Amino acid sequence: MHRLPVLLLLLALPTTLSAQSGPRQLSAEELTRLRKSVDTSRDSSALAAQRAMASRQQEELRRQEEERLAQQQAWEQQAYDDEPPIQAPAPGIFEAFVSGFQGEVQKQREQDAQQQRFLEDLRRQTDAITRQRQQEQEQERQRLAEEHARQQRLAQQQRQQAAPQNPGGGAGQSTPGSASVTSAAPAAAQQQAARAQEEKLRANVAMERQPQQQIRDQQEGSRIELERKRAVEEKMVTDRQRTEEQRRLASAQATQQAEQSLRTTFRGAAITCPGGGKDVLYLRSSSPPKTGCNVGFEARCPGTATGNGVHFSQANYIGASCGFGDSIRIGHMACPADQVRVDMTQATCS
Amino acid sequence: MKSMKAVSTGILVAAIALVHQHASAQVKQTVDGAQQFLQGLNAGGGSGAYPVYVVSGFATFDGTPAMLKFWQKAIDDIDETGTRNPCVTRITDIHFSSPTIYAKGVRWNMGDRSVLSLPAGGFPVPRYIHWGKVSINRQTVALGDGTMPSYHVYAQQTTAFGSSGNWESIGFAPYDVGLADRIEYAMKFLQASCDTSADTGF
Repeated sequence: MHRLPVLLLLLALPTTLSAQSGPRQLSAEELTRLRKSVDTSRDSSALAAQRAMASRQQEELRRQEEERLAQQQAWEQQAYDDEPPIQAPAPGIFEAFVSGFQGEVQKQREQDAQQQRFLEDLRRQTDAITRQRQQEQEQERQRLAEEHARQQRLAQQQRQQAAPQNPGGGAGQSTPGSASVTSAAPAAAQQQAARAQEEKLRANVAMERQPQQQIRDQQEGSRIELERKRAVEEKMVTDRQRTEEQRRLASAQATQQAEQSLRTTFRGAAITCPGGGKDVLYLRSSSPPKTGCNVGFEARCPGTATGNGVHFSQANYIGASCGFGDSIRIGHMACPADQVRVDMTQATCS
Repeated sequence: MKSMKAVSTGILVAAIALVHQHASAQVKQTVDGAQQFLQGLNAGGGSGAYPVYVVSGFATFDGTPAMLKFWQKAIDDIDETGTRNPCVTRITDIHFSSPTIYAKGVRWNMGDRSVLSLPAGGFPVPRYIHWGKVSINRQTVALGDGTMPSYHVYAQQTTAFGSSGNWESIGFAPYDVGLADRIEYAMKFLQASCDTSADTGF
Protein backbone atom coordinates (compact mmCIF):
# COMPACT_ATOMS: atom_id res chain seq x y z
CA MET A 1 0.00 0.00 0.00
CA HIS A 2 2.82 2.36 0.95
CA ARG A 3 5.30 1.06 -1.56
CA LEU A 4 4.45 3.48 -4.39
CA PRO A 5 5.23 6.80 -2.55
CA VAL A 6 8.49 5.33 -1.21
CA LEU A 7 9.47 4.22 -4.71
CA LEU A 8 8.72 7.68 -6.15
CA LEU A 9 10.75 9.30 -3.39
CA LEU A 10 13.72 7.03 -4.11
CA LEU A 11 13.47 7.83 -7.81
CA ALA A 12 13.39 11.58 -7.15
CA LEU A 13 16.24 11.53 -4.63
CA PRO A 14 19.22 11.56 -7.06
CA THR A 15 17.70 14.49 -8.97
CA THR A 16 17.26 16.44 -5.74
CA LEU A 17 20.80 15.68 -4.61
CA SER A 18 22.34 16.65 -7.93
CA ALA A 19 20.40 19.92 -7.92
CA GLN A 20 21.89 20.73 -4.55
CA SER A 21 25.53 19.88 -5.25
CA GLY A 22 26.23 20.58 -8.92
CA PRO A 23 25.51 23.41 -11.31
CA ARG A 24 21.98 23.75 -12.57
CA GLN A 25 20.76 24.06 -16.13
CA LEU A 26 19.84 27.63 -17.03
CA SER A 27 16.63 28.32 -18.90
CA ALA A 28 16.49 30.27 -22.16
CA GLU A 29 14.88 33.14 -20.29
CA GLU A 30 17.76 33.26 -17.82
CA LEU A 31 20.33 33.21 -20.62
CA THR A 32 18.56 36.12 -22.34
CA ARG A 33 18.58 37.99 -19.04
CA LEU A 34 22.32 37.34 -18.68
CA ARG A 35 23.02 38.72 -22.15
CA LYS A 36 20.94 41.82 -21.43
CA SER A 37 22.79 42.37 -18.16
CA VAL A 38 26.12 42.24 -20.03
CA ASP A 39 24.85 44.90 -22.47
CA THR A 40 23.66 47.08 -19.60
CA SER A 41 26.93 46.65 -17.74
CA ARG A 42 28.95 47.61 -20.83
CA ASP A 43 26.92 50.77 -21.40
CA SER A 44 26.92 51.85 -17.77
CA SER A 45 30.68 51.29 -17.34
CA ALA A 46 31.37 53.33 -20.49
CA LEU A 47 29.15 56.12 -19.18
CA ALA A 48 30.88 56.04 -15.81
CA ALA A 49 34.26 56.24 -17.55
CA GLN A 50 33.12 59.27 -19.56
CA ARG A 51 31.90 60.99 -16.41
CA ALA A 52 35.15 60.20 -14.61
CA MET A 53 37.14 61.60 -17.53
CA ALA A 54 35.09 64.81 -17.55
CA SER A 55 35.59 65.12 -13.82
CA ARG A 56 39.35 64.59 -14.17
CA GLN A 57 39.56 67.19 -16.91
CA GLN A 58 37.74 69.70 -14.72
CA GLU A 59 40.05 68.87 -11.86
CA GLU A 60 43.06 69.31 -14.15
CA LEU A 61 41.79 72.70 -15.36
CA ARG A 62 41.24 73.78 -11.80
CA ARG A 63 44.75 72.61 -10.88
CA GLN A 64 46.30 74.44 -13.81
CA GLU A 65 44.45 77.60 -12.81
CA GLU A 66 45.71 77.26 -9.25
CA GLU A 67 49.20 76.67 -10.56
CA ARG A 68 49.02 79.76 -12.75
CA LEU A 69 47.86 81.87 -9.83
CA ALA A 70 50.58 80.44 -7.62
CA GLN A 71 53.18 81.24 -10.27
CA GLN A 72 51.89 84.77 -10.55
CA GLN A 73 52.16 85.22 -6.82
CA ALA A 74 55.61 83.72 -6.83
CA TRP A 75 56.77 86.11 -9.51
CA GLU A 76 55.36 89.04 -7.58
CA GLN A 77 57.17 88.04 -4.41
CA GLN A 78 60.27 87.03 -6.37
CA ALA A 79 60.59 84.00 -4.16
CA TYR A 80 62.34 82.08 -6.90
CA ASP A 81 64.66 84.84 -8.17
CA ASP A 82 67.47 82.32 -8.74
CA GLU A 83 65.26 79.54 -10.20
CA PRO A 84 63.39 79.56 -13.51
CA PRO A 85 59.57 79.49 -13.15
CA ILE A 86 57.62 76.32 -13.83
CA GLN A 87 56.79 76.38 -17.50
CA ALA A 88 54.53 74.37 -19.73
CA PRO A 89 56.22 71.54 -21.62
CA ALA A 90 58.09 72.73 -24.74
CA PRO A 91 55.62 72.32 -27.61
CA GLY A 92 56.33 70.43 -30.78
CA ILE A 93 59.10 68.09 -29.63
CA PHE A 94 56.95 65.02 -29.45
CA GLU A 95 55.06 65.97 -32.64
CA ALA A 96 58.39 66.41 -34.45
CA PHE A 97 59.54 63.02 -33.20
CA VAL A 98 56.30 61.35 -34.35
CA SER A 99 56.52 63.05 -37.74
CA GLY A 100 60.15 61.95 -38.18
CA PHE A 101 59.33 58.39 -37.20
CA GLN A 102 56.39 58.26 -39.63
CA GLY A 103 58.69 59.58 -42.39
CA GLU A 104 61.15 56.76 -41.67
CA VAL A 105 58.38 54.19 -41.83
CA GLN A 106 57.15 55.59 -45.16
CA LYS A 107 60.68 55.54 -46.57
CA GLN A 108 61.04 51.92 -45.50
CA ARG A 109 57.78 51.01 -47.22
CA GLU A 110 58.94 52.63 -50.47
CA GLN A 111 62.20 50.70 -50.31
CA ASP A 112 60.29 47.45 -49.81
CA ALA A 113 58.05 48.21 -52.82
CA GLN A 114 61.09 49.00 -54.99
CA GLN A 115 62.74 45.76 -53.97
CA GLN A 116 59.55 43.85 -54.80
CA ARG A 117 59.44 45.45 -58.28
CA PHE A 118 63.08 44.51 -58.88
CA LEU A 119 62.37 40.87 -57.96
CA GLU A 120 59.33 40.79 -60.28
CA ASP A 121 61.44 42.10 -63.20
CA LEU A 122 64.11 39.53 -62.49
CA ARG A 123 61.55 36.74 -62.47
CA ARG A 124 60.02 37.89 -65.76
CA GLN A 125 63.42 38.04 -67.43
CA THR A 126 64.31 34.56 -66.22
CA ASP A 127 61.01 33.18 -67.52
CA ALA A 128 61.61 34.75 -70.94
CA ILE A 129 65.12 33.25 -71.16
CA THR A 130 63.79 29.82 -70.18
CA ARG A 131 61.03 29.97 -72.80
CA GLN A 132 63.49 31.07 -75.51
CA ARG A 133 65.84 28.22 -74.61
CA GLN A 134 63.01 25.68 -74.81
CA GLN A 135 61.98 26.99 -78.23
CA GLU A 136 65.56 26.71 -79.50
CA GLN A 137 65.84 23.14 -78.25
CA GLU A 138 62.55 22.24 -79.91
CA GLN A 139 63.67 23.76 -83.22
CA GLU A 140 66.99 21.89 -83.04
CA ARG A 141 65.18 18.64 -82.35
CA GLN A 142 62.86 19.17 -85.34
CA ARG A 143 65.79 20.06 -87.58
CA LEU A 144 67.65 16.85 -86.64
CA ALA A 145 64.53 14.76 -87.19
CA GLU A 146 64.00 16.30 -90.64
CA GLU A 147 67.64 15.70 -91.50
CA HIS A 148 67.36 12.11 -90.47
CA ALA A 149 64.19 11.64 -92.54
CA ARG A 150 65.85 13.27 -95.53
CA GLN A 151 68.82 10.95 -95.28
CA GLN A 152 66.56 7.96 -95.04
CA ARG A 153 64.66 9.08 -98.12
CA LEU A 154 67.97 9.56 -99.98
CA ALA A 155 69.19 6.10 -99.04
CA GLN A 156 65.88 4.62 -100.18
CA GLN A 157 66.11 6.36 -103.52
CA GLN A 158 69.69 5.15 -103.99
CA ARG A 159 68.64 1.60 -103.26
CA GLN A 160 65.77 1.87 -105.72
CA GLN A 161 68.11 3.24 -108.41
CA ALA A 162 70.61 0.47 -107.80
CA ALA A 163 68.00 -2.31 -108.02
CA PRO A 164 67.15 -2.08 -111.90
CA GLN A 165 70.88 -2.07 -112.83
CA ASN A 166 71.33 -5.44 -111.18
CA PRO A 167 67.98 -7.20 -111.07
CA GLY A 168 69.47 -10.67 -110.57
CA GLY A 169 72.30 -9.59 -108.36
CA GLY A 170 70.48 -10.78 -105.33
CA ALA A 171 70.41 -14.37 -106.72
CA GLY A 172 74.13 -14.38 -107.76
CA GLN A 173 73.43 -15.01 -111.50
CA SER A 174 75.56 -13.39 -114.36
CA THR A 175 75.93 -13.59 -118.14
CA PRO A 176 79.37 -14.45 -119.64
CA GLY A 177 79.56 -11.33 -122.02
CA SER A 178 79.05 -8.70 -119.42
CA ALA A 179 81.70 -9.59 -116.81
CA SER A 180 83.34 -6.10 -116.48
CA VAL A 181 79.99 -4.30 -116.15
CA THR A 182 78.67 -6.77 -113.63
CA SER A 183 81.89 -6.63 -111.56
CA ALA A 184 81.87 -2.73 -111.33
CA ALA A 185 78.19 -2.33 -110.52
CA PRO A 186 78.16 -4.43 -107.32
CA ALA A 187 81.24 -2.52 -106.05
CA ALA A 188 79.54 0.87 -106.53
CA ALA A 189 76.39 -0.46 -104.96
CA GLN A 190 78.35 -1.79 -102.01
CA GLN A 191 80.07 1.58 -101.55
CA GLN A 192 76.73 3.32 -101.76
CA ALA A 193 75.23 0.92 -99.27
CA ALA A 194 78.21 1.36 -96.96
CA ARG A 195 77.84 5.15 -97.14
CA ALA A 196 74.14 4.86 -96.46
CA GLN A 197 74.85 2.55 -93.55
CA GLU A 198 77.43 5.01 -92.21
CA GLU A 199 74.98 7.89 -92.54
CA LYS A 200 72.35 5.83 -90.81
CA LEU A 201 74.71 4.99 -87.97
CA ARG A 202 75.70 8.65 -87.68
CA ALA A 203 72.05 9.66 -87.57
CA ASN A 204 71.38 6.99 -84.93
CA VAL A 205 74.28 8.21 -82.84
CA ALA A 206 73.04 11.80 -83.22
CA MET A 207 69.54 10.71 -82.18
CA GLU A 208 70.95 8.83 -79.22
CA ARG A 209 72.99 11.84 -78.24
CA GLN A 210 70.07 14.23 -78.56
CA PRO A 211 68.23 13.16 -75.34
CA GLN A 212 71.54 13.17 -73.46
CA GLN A 213 72.19 16.68 -74.69
CA GLN A 214 68.66 17.68 -73.66
CA ILE A 215 69.24 16.24 -70.19
CA ARG A 216 72.55 18.09 -69.95
CA ASP A 217 70.82 21.29 -71.07
CA GLN A 218 68.07 20.77 -68.54
CA GLN A 219 70.60 20.09 -65.79
CA GLU A 220 72.51 23.20 -66.76
CA GLY A 221 69.25 25.19 -66.78
CA SER A 222 68.29 23.81 -63.38
CA ARG A 223 71.72 24.66 -62.00
CA ILE A 224 71.49 28.22 -63.32
CA GLU A 225 67.95 28.54 -61.98
CA LEU A 226 69.04 27.19 -58.59
CA GLU A 227 71.93 29.63 -58.45
CA ARG A 228 69.62 32.46 -59.43
CA LYS A 229 67.14 31.50 -56.71
CA ARG A 230 69.92 31.19 -54.18
CA ALA A 231 71.23 34.61 -55.12
CA VAL A 232 67.72 36.09 -54.84
CA GLU A 233 67.18 34.41 -51.47
CA GLU A 234 70.54 35.61 -50.20
CA LYS A 235 69.68 39.11 -51.36
CA MET A 236 66.28 38.90 -49.65
CA VAL A 237 67.86 37.67 -46.40
CA THR A 238 70.41 40.46 -46.54
CA ASP A 239 67.71 43.03 -47.28
CA ARG A 240 65.53 41.67 -44.49
CA GLN A 241 68.40 41.82 -42.03
CA ARG A 242 69.14 45.36 -43.13
CA THR A 243 65.46 46.29 -42.78
CA GLU A 244 65.30 44.73 -39.31
CA GLU A 245 68.43 46.55 -38.31
CA GLN A 246 67.01 49.83 -39.61
CA ARG A 247 63.77 49.24 -37.71
CA ARG A 248 65.65 48.32 -34.56
CA LEU A 249 67.76 51.44 -34.84
CA ALA A 250 64.65 53.57 -35.53
CA SER A 251 62.92 52.02 -32.51
CA ALA A 252 65.95 52.55 -30.29
CA GLN A 253 66.23 56.11 -31.54
CA ALA A 254 62.53 56.71 -30.91
CA THR A 255 62.84 55.31 -27.38
CA GLN A 256 65.89 57.46 -26.75
CA GLN A 257 64.10 60.55 -28.01
CA ALA A 258 61.04 59.75 -25.89
CA GLU A 259 63.21 59.37 -22.79
CA GLN A 260 64.99 62.62 -23.53
CA SER A 261 61.68 64.34 -24.18
CA LEU A 262 60.35 63.03 -20.84
CA ARG A 263 63.32 64.44 -18.97
CA THR A 264 63.47 67.81 -20.73
CA THR A 265 59.75 68.53 -20.57
CA PHE A 266 59.33 67.45 -16.96
CA ARG A 267 58.18 70.15 -14.57
CA GLY A 268 57.40 69.16 -11.03
CA ALA A 269 56.77 70.50 -7.57
CA ALA A 270 56.33 69.14 -4.06
CA ILE A 271 52.89 69.31 -2.48
CA THR A 272 51.00 67.90 0.49
CA CYS A 273 47.92 65.81 -0.21
CA PRO A 274 44.68 65.63 1.82
CA GLY A 275 44.94 62.57 4.06
CA GLY A 276 48.53 62.01 2.99
CA GLY A 277 50.07 62.68 6.40
CA LYS A 278 51.33 65.80 8.12
CA ASP A 279 54.32 67.38 6.34
CA VAL A 280 54.58 64.37 4.02
CA LEU A 281 55.35 65.63 0.52
CA TYR A 282 54.16 64.26 -2.78
CA LEU A 283 55.00 64.99 -6.40
CA ARG A 284 52.83 67.10 -8.67
CA SER A 285 54.06 66.92 -12.25
CA SER A 286 53.31 68.22 -15.72
CA SER A 287 51.58 65.77 -18.10
CA PRO A 288 54.28 63.49 -19.54
CA PRO A 289 54.62 63.32 -23.36
CA LYS A 290 54.88 59.53 -23.04
CA THR A 291 53.34 57.28 -20.41
CA GLY A 292 54.35 53.85 -19.14
CA CYS A 293 58.06 54.57 -18.62
CA ASN A 294 60.10 53.85 -15.51
CA VAL A 295 61.41 57.11 -14.12
CA GLY A 296 63.55 58.39 -11.26
CA PHE A 297 63.47 61.77 -9.50
CA GLU A 298 65.51 63.85 -7.14
CA ALA A 299 64.00 66.39 -4.72
CA ARG A 300 66.30 69.03 -3.26
CA CYS A 301 65.98 71.92 -0.84
CA PRO A 302 67.77 75.18 -1.61
CA GLY A 303 71.48 74.82 -0.86
CA THR A 304 71.53 71.06 -1.45
CA ALA A 305 73.94 70.01 -4.19
CA THR A 306 72.73 67.95 -7.14
CA GLY A 307 72.92 64.26 -6.26
CA ASN A 308 72.57 64.82 -2.49
CA GLY A 309 68.78 65.22 -2.49
CA VAL A 310 65.99 62.71 -1.83
CA HIS A 311 65.77 60.12 -4.60
CA PHE A 312 62.54 58.36 -5.46
CA SER A 313 61.19 56.48 -8.48
CA GLN A 314 58.03 55.32 -10.18
CA ALA A 315 57.35 52.43 -12.55
CA ASN A 316 54.81 52.83 -15.35
CA TYR A 317 54.77 56.59 -14.91
CA ILE A 318 51.62 58.44 -16.05
CA GLY A 319 52.09 61.76 -14.30
CA ALA A 320 51.39 62.54 -10.66
CA SER A 321 49.28 64.64 -8.36
CA CYS A 322 46.98 64.17 -5.38
CA GLY A 323 44.36 61.69 -6.57
CA PHE A 324 45.16 62.20 -10.24
CA GLY A 325 47.41 59.73 -12.03
CA ASP A 326 49.89 58.25 -9.58
CA SER A 327 50.39 59.53 -6.05
CA ILE A 328 54.16 59.59 -5.78
CA ARG A 329 55.43 59.98 -2.26
CA ILE A 330 58.56 62.05 -1.68
CA GLY A 331 58.44 61.89 2.10
CA HIS A 332 59.69 64.44 4.63
CA MET A 333 61.98 67.24 3.49
CA ALA A 334 64.02 69.76 5.49
CA CYS A 335 62.36 72.74 3.78
CA PRO A 336 58.77 73.81 3.04
CA ALA A 337 57.03 72.30 -0.01
CA ASP A 338 57.20 75.47 -2.09
CA GLN A 339 61.02 75.58 -1.78
CA VAL A 340 61.59 72.01 -2.96
CA ARG A 341 62.98 71.61 -6.45
CA VAL A 342 62.18 68.31 -8.22
CA ASP A 343 64.12 67.00 -11.24
CA MET A 344 63.64 63.88 -13.28
CA THR A 345 67.04 62.20 -13.13
CA GLN A 346 66.44 59.19 -15.35
CA ALA A 347 63.79 57.69 -17.65
CA THR A 348 63.65 54.25 -19.22
CA CYS A 349 60.97 53.57 -21.80
CA SER A 350 62.22 50.29 -23.36
CA MET B 1 -8.91 4.89 -32.23
CA LYS B 2 -7.73 5.91 -28.77
CA SER B 3 -4.45 4.06 -29.16
CA MET B 4 -3.83 5.79 -32.52
CA LYS B 5 -4.22 9.18 -30.85
CA ALA B 6 -1.84 8.20 -28.08
CA VAL B 7 0.79 7.05 -30.60
CA SER B 8 0.59 10.28 -32.63
CA THR B 9 0.86 12.37 -29.45
CA GLY B 10 3.94 10.37 -28.46
CA ILE B 11 5.57 10.99 -31.85
CA LEU B 12 4.86 14.71 -31.55
CA VAL B 13 6.42 14.86 -28.08
CA ALA B 14 9.47 12.94 -29.26
CA ALA B 15 9.88 15.27 -32.25
CA ILE B 16 9.70 18.35 -30.01
CA ALA B 17 12.23 16.78 -27.66
CA LEU B 18 14.58 16.07 -30.57
CA VAL B 19 14.27 19.62 -31.90
CA HIS B 20 14.92 21.00 -28.42
CA GLN B 21 17.92 18.72 -28.00
CA HIS B 22 19.26 19.85 -31.38
CA ALA B 23 18.87 23.51 -30.42
CA SER B 24 20.65 22.89 -27.12
CA ALA B 25 23.49 21.10 -28.92
CA GLN B 26 24.04 24.16 -31.08
CA VAL B 27 24.49 26.45 -28.04
CA LYS B 28 26.84 24.19 -26.01
CA GLN B 29 27.18 26.70 -23.17
CA THR B 30 28.12 24.79 -20.04
CA VAL B 31 29.87 25.58 -16.78
CA ASP B 32 32.75 23.39 -17.91
CA GLY B 33 32.96 25.44 -21.10
CA ALA B 34 32.98 28.68 -19.12
CA GLN B 35 35.73 27.35 -16.85
CA GLN B 36 37.72 26.25 -19.88
CA PHE B 37 37.29 29.70 -21.46
CA LEU B 38 38.59 31.52 -18.38
CA GLN B 39 41.46 29.07 -17.88
CA GLY B 40 42.41 29.54 -21.52
CA LEU B 41 42.49 33.30 -21.05
CA ASN B 42 44.69 32.87 -18.02
CA ALA B 43 47.15 30.52 -19.70
CA GLY B 44 50.38 32.05 -20.93
CA GLY B 45 50.03 35.16 -18.82
CA GLY B 46 46.70 36.10 -20.35
CA SER B 47 46.42 36.31 -24.11
CA GLY B 48 44.69 39.60 -24.73
CA ALA B 49 43.31 39.88 -21.20
CA TYR B 50 45.57 40.56 -18.24
CA PRO B 51 44.60 38.11 -15.46
CA VAL B 52 44.59 39.62 -11.98
CA TYR B 53 43.87 38.62 -8.41
CA VAL B 54 42.75 41.50 -6.22
CA VAL B 55 42.49 41.34 -2.45
CA SER B 56 41.27 43.98 -0.03
CA GLY B 57 41.49 44.12 3.74
CA PHE B 58 44.41 41.74 4.06
CA ALA B 59 47.15 44.40 4.14
CA THR B 60 47.43 47.98 5.32
CA PHE B 61 49.29 50.85 3.69
CA ASP B 62 50.49 53.64 5.92
CA GLY B 63 47.98 52.46 8.52
CA THR B 64 44.91 52.43 6.27
CA PRO B 65 43.29 49.41 4.55
CA ALA B 66 44.92 48.68 1.20
CA MET B 67 43.78 46.91 -1.92
CA LEU B 68 46.49 44.84 -3.59
CA LYS B 69 46.41 43.72 -7.20
CA PHE B 70 48.61 40.83 -8.28
CA TRP B 71 49.29 39.02 -11.53
CA GLN B 72 47.34 35.78 -11.34
CA LYS B 73 49.58 33.17 -12.96
CA ALA B 74 47.67 29.86 -12.86
CA ILE B 75 44.11 28.68 -12.20
CA ASP B 76 42.16 25.39 -12.36
CA ASP B 77 38.81 24.01 -11.17
CA ILE B 78 39.79 21.97 -8.10
CA ASP B 79 37.95 22.66 -4.87
CA GLU B 80 39.10 22.45 -1.23
CA THR B 81 38.48 18.67 -1.12
CA GLY B 82 40.87 18.11 -4.03
CA THR B 83 38.19 17.12 -6.53
CA ARG B 84 37.16 18.77 -9.78
CA ASN B 85 34.29 21.17 -9.26
CA PRO B 86 33.07 23.38 -12.11
CA CYS B 87 31.63 25.84 -9.58
CA VAL B 88 35.06 26.57 -8.07
CA THR B 89 38.15 28.27 -9.49
CA ARG B 90 41.36 27.60 -7.63
CA ILE B 91 44.15 30.15 -7.98
CA THR B 92 47.31 28.12 -7.62
CA ASP B 93 50.03 30.64 -8.43
CA ILE B 94 50.18 34.38 -7.74
CA HIS B 95 53.04 36.70 -8.64
CA PHE B 96 53.70 38.38 -5.32
CA SER B 97 56.83 40.36 -6.12
CA SER B 98 55.25 43.46 -7.67
CA PRO B 99 51.74 44.26 -6.47
CA THR B 100 49.89 47.38 -7.46
CA ILE B 101 48.81 49.16 -4.30
CA TYR B 102 45.58 51.15 -3.93
CA ALA B 103 44.90 53.03 -0.72
CA LYS B 104 43.15 56.26 0.24
CA GLY B 105 41.48 56.22 -3.17
CA VAL B 106 44.64 56.39 -5.31
CA ARG B 107 47.35 54.18 -6.76
CA TRP B 108 50.65 54.28 -4.92
CA ASN B 109 54.28 54.11 -5.82
CA MET B 110 55.80 50.63 -5.80
CA GLY B 111 58.73 52.13 -3.97
CA ASP B 112 56.43 52.76 -1.01
CA ARG B 113 56.26 49.06 -0.13
CA SER B 114 58.17 49.96 3.01
CA VAL B 115 54.92 51.33 4.45
CA LEU B 116 52.91 48.31 3.25
CA SER B 117 52.33 45.86 6.08
CA LEU B 118 51.15 42.28 5.67
CA PRO B 119 50.00 39.94 8.47
CA ALA B 120 52.58 37.56 9.86
CA GLY B 121 52.78 34.34 7.89
CA GLY B 122 52.16 36.05 4.57
CA PHE B 123 49.38 35.47 2.13
CA PRO B 124 47.80 31.97 2.06
CA VAL B 125 47.76 30.22 -1.32
CA PRO B 126 45.92 28.60 -3.10
CA ARG B 127 42.83 30.79 -3.14
CA TYR B 128 39.36 29.47 -3.97
CA ILE B 129 36.65 31.45 -5.77
CA HIS B 130 33.14 29.97 -5.36
CA TRP B 131 31.13 31.09 -8.37
CA GLY B 132 27.79 30.64 -6.63
CA LYS B 133 28.76 33.33 -4.13
CA VAL B 134 30.42 36.00 -6.27
CA SER B 135 29.18 39.34 -7.53
CA ILE B 136 30.30 40.42 -10.98
CA ASN B 137 31.30 43.99 -11.73
CA ARG B 138 32.91 45.81 -14.60
CA GLN B 139 34.86 49.05 -14.98
CA THR B 140 36.12 50.95 -17.98
CA VAL B 141 39.49 52.54 -17.29
CA ALA B 142 41.29 54.98 -19.59
CA LEU B 143 44.13 57.47 -19.54
CA GLY B 144 43.45 61.05 -18.48
CA ASP B 145 42.53 62.12 -22.01
CA GLY B 146 40.19 59.15 -22.51
CA THR B 147 42.54 57.19 -24.77
CA MET B 148 43.56 53.54 -24.40
CA PRO B 149 40.44 52.29 -22.63
CA SER B 150 40.68 48.89 -20.96
CA TYR B 151 37.77 46.89 -19.59
CA HIS B 152 38.15 45.33 -16.16
CA VAL B 153 35.74 42.51 -15.29
CA TYR B 154 35.89 41.09 -11.78
CA ALA B 155 34.14 38.32 -9.84
CA GLN B 156 34.29 39.32 -6.21
CA GLN B 157 33.52 37.29 -3.10
CA THR B 158 33.54 38.14 0.55
CA THR B 159 36.30 36.39 2.46
CA ALA B 160 37.15 36.77 6.13
CA PHE B 161 40.81 37.62 6.59
CA GLY B 162 40.39 38.16 10.30
CA SER B 163 38.29 41.32 10.29
CA SER B 164 35.07 42.36 8.62
CA GLY B 165 34.65 44.00 5.23
CA ASN B 166 37.25 41.95 3.39
CA TRP B 167 36.95 40.60 -0.11
CA GLU B 168 38.95 39.00 -2.88
CA SER B 169 38.32 38.77 -6.59
CA ILE B 170 39.46 37.14 -9.78
CA GLY B 171 39.53 39.40 -12.83
CA PHE B 172 40.59 39.98 -16.39
CA ALA B 173 41.42 43.29 -18.05
CA PRO B 174 41.26 43.15 -21.86
CA TYR B 175 41.61 46.12 -24.21
CA ASP B 176 38.91 44.64 -26.46
CA VAL B 177 35.31 45.42 -25.49
CA GLY B 178 34.01 42.29 -27.29
CA LEU B 179 36.33 40.07 -25.28
CA ALA B 180 35.23 41.86 -22.11
CA ASP B 181 31.60 41.03 -23.00
CA ARG B 182 32.46 37.35 -23.40
CA ILE B 183 34.36 37.29 -20.10
CA GLU B 184 31.51 38.97 -18.26
CA TYR B 185 28.97 36.61 -19.83
CA ALA B 186 31.06 33.53 -18.90
CA MET B 187 31.40 34.79 -15.33
CA LYS B 188 27.69 35.54 -15.04
CA PHE B 189 26.89 32.14 -16.55
CA LEU B 190 29.00 30.45 -13.86
CA GLN B 191 27.46 32.64 -11.18
CA ALA B 192 23.87 31.86 -12.22
CA SER B 193 24.53 28.15 -12.80
CA CYS B 194 26.26 27.66 -9.44
CA ASP B 195 23.95 29.83 -7.36
CA THR B 196 22.31 27.31 -5.01
CA SER B 197 20.03 29.96 -3.60
CA ALA B 198 18.12 29.95 -6.91
CA ASP B 199 16.39 26.77 -5.70
CA THR B 200 14.65 28.80 -3.02
CA GLY B 201 12.65 30.62 -5.67
CA PHE B 202 14.03 34.05 -4.72
